Amino acid sequence: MEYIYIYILILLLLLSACLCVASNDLILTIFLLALTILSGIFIFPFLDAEYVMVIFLIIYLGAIVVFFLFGVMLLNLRYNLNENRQKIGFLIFVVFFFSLFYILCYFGLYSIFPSESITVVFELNEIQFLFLSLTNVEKIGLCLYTEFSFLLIIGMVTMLIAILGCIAFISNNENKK
Amino acid sequence: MKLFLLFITTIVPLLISIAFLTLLERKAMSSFQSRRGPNIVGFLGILQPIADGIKLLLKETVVPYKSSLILYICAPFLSFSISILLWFIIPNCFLINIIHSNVSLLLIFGLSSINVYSIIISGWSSNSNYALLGSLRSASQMISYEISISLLMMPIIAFSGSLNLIDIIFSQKNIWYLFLFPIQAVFFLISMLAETNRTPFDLPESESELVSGFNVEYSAMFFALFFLAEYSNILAMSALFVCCFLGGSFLFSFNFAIFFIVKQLFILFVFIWIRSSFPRYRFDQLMLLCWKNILPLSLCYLFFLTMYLA
Repeated sequence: MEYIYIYILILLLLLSACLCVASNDLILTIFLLALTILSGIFIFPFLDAEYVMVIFLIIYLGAIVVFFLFGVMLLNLRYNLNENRQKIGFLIFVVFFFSLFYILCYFGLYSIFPSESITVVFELNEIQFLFLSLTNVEKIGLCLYTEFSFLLIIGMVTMLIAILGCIAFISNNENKK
Repeated sequence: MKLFLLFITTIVPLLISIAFLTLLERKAMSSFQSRRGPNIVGFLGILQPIADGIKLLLKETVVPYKSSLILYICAPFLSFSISILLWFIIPNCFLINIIHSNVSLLLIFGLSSINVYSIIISGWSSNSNYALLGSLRSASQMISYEISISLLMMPIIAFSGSLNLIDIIFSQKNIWYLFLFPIQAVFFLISMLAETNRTPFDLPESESELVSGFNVEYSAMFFALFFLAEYSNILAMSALFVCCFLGGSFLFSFNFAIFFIVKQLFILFVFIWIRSSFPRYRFDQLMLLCWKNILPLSLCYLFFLTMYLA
């Protein structure tokens, strides 16, 4: 039964993404972007990744798109949008919709409406069994802080430099004034 | 059937609580100001919320000229529905919740982030400069204090080892986190006031100055929905405080539902007490408090705690 929800979410995602490109109003574009991200992140719980869903919700929807909105509303931006955007939107929709069907056909048409009577039996060793019983947060933590710890530290240092750079830039501008 | 019963036993008491919280607020504030509150409608004013509800229902709905109609109508509904959705995640006094999730604490923060949208949409769609400015102020205030709430929750998540609210409650069986993290509790209380746009952080609303801020152009039932959403948020945040710092329904390792209710009532009383006691913060003072005071202090405490644990 879950596949119905997934297909509804995918259709909503495609529709809102294409309307986002094709809309006249800039504010409506940003709200449709928010709807696109929202419909995209609702697929994560079906993949047992509820933590990723919530983090995307808080950071993308709760912060980044809100800052887009702030910028547009406070600066009252009114750009002349591309005249061909509606055609581009329709083209993108068609391309993604048919590529979805192509991928499904590649994996076999029976995967479109999977039967619930299929049971999969496989053997697990002890570590794999223990790994399955962990929550999403614990799984991410086990991988991120051991195997990818060096990359994580590089990412964190990069963000620190970016923050310090922003602060230095702003204080430099204030000193010049 | 069970889900339906759970739903009914969550939503119906919630709606009644929201209505009578307004009466509690008015009565308590009037006591602080040495006067009687509403006492005309019903015995001791007990029917005042019903009278308020009927008044708001019967008022004329005014839609501003050249407002974006769809957004204008959607904003209060979004606000109210998100506020009600919060209550599906927060456990009730019997520690049962409708949506069981291993990340319930983060889901609450996520839903608070979506609450920001309803405020921005309401301000923008009203086609009024004052509504827009009020909504943007309120939104920036909410985003800032959300960050501080997330950082304040980190020690609690680390100590309880789970993001599930019920696990956090059970980990406070022997000692409440209020005694382990008192500074976090105080900062969390302050951040809650800012999140719910309550005094002394209610500049975006500031009933005596800006009239109503982001919901200035809303009347009748739309305003009622914003009003209900605000009080539902207050109830939800106080329940969250009880879950995270006051041990939920635990007292001296005894688990009774009445303890949860008593603690939540106390926190609600503290909200109203603060409203009647403190003047309003100016907007720059409000943001300064978050970014330069609460946030660095909570970050330092987190470093200290991590070093101590390591």
